[in-house]
Amino acid sequence: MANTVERKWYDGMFSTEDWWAFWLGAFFVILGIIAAFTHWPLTGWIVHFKGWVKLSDSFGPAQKGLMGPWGSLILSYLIFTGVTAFAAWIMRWNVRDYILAWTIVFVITVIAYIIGKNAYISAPKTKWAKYGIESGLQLGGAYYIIALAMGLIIGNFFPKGFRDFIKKGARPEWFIKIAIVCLGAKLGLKALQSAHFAAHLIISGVCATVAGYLLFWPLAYLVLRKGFGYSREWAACFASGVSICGVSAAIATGAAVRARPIIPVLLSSVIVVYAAIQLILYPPVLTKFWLHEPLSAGASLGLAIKTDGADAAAGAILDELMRSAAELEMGVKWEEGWITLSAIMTKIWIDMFIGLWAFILAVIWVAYFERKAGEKVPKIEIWFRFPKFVLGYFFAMLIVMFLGFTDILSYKDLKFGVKPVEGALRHLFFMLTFTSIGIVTDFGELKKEGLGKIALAYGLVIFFIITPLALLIAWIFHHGMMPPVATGGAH
Amino acid sequence: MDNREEIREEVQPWDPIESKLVKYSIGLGIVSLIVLGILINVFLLSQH
Repeated sequence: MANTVERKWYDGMFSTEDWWAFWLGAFFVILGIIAAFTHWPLTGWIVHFKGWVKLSDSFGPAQKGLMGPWGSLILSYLIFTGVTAFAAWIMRWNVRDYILAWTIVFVITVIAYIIGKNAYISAPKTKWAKYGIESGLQLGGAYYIIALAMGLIIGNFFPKGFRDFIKKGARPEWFIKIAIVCLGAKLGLKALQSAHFAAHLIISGVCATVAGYLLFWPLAYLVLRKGFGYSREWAACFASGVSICGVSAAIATGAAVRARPIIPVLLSSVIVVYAAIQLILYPPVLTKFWLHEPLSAGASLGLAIKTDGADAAAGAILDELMRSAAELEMGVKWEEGWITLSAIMTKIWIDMFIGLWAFILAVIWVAYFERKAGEKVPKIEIWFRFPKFVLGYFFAMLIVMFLGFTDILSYKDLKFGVKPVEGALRHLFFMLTFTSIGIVTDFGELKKEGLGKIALAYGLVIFFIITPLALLIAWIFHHGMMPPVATGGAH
Repeated sequence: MDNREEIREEVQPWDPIESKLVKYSIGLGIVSLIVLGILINVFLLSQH
């Protein structure tokens, strides 16, 4: 941590994925707000994927009638390619490789989205009449699983050379962070409709996270040290990875306790694989057994799943599954997005506190285990560890709330400009995340020499300590909260 | 890739400060769970 003394607070602003998620997400939100002020179609071009029976109805521009479906798709590809490639260029990636790999990921994602949105596959029974069909699988959210499955096939069965190449454009953490910044605008819009409910979700989320942090980490550390015999540097990184926020927590803790760099690297492959398993398992199980506690279920995902991408993805699936099930079994139609938001809210707070936690660990390690006289941990380390995309999330939420609550812009105007960003764009980046998670998840990693013990320890801690505690904590802080009932239109 | 060398560790004895770290953290966790849980249930969840 010695080199942090020479670092400036603004270091990394144009060289990290985290910061570029902030810039790109904020760029599109601001574009939406300018569109809201001017009514220019600055965001209406974004491609929106819809339920379909006729293939020609499967996608089109977010602003109806603005252009043809292919125009919207091609323009979306060009603009999203342009802005992400620009970021890649500034970050000094190989831009040519990035664009080629990204293009493949984009095409796969579009195909998965179109297939999954087919009415026979995904439309709930209540919408069959709308599509003129009399039967269907009712697999809401199937498009996410199709994208994940297509990614997994590539990530596990394609030639190694191709897998290594396509990973240059498959960036799940980057894509989901951009989507989460846009999700902040959604929370802002939702807060305009249900201010109290949004505030309650934020407060419950932060309280659940504080309790979760303080219980998860020491229990994981204890089991790993005493039960599995790991050294302090291994157990500290491992405990942060399995109990806080996955790869980024393992890396932050590794830096804080000066662990060998190989440790977070070895852990990261296990973390990513388990996150994918949780993403597939948890939403259907929670829908089956916890339909009466939708927001507790959502919040538990944020506490239990350790990568941003897999958590947001699982939240999106849970949202689809629970809303379909509630409509069918309880005859109630919940507003879309609240369950996803509850999953992301707890995860965002967890991400925010990692800087503080890494700082605390660094202080303890320097003071007690390394015992280097006179050495202090600079407080700016908290800022360096702070996830910057979270700033974008709150920026997007607060600016939309400010403009709406002060009547500078009407809800209708804000919806015109911002809805394509928090809707069509966000969903597309969610889908890109699913495809990318599949591509980077290599189940073969678990077979490698030496990773067996890590995988076993991780599995035991995540399934028998973290998940049950996450369910309990989520229930204590969210029980009885239900998503607002959909009224069919905005005010 | 063989990771055995990286994963193999010498056994480190449990340090008293580790006991402190774990005990204080769990203690604070339980206290925050109870205190924040009561506050949230009384002032917030009761409205739902």
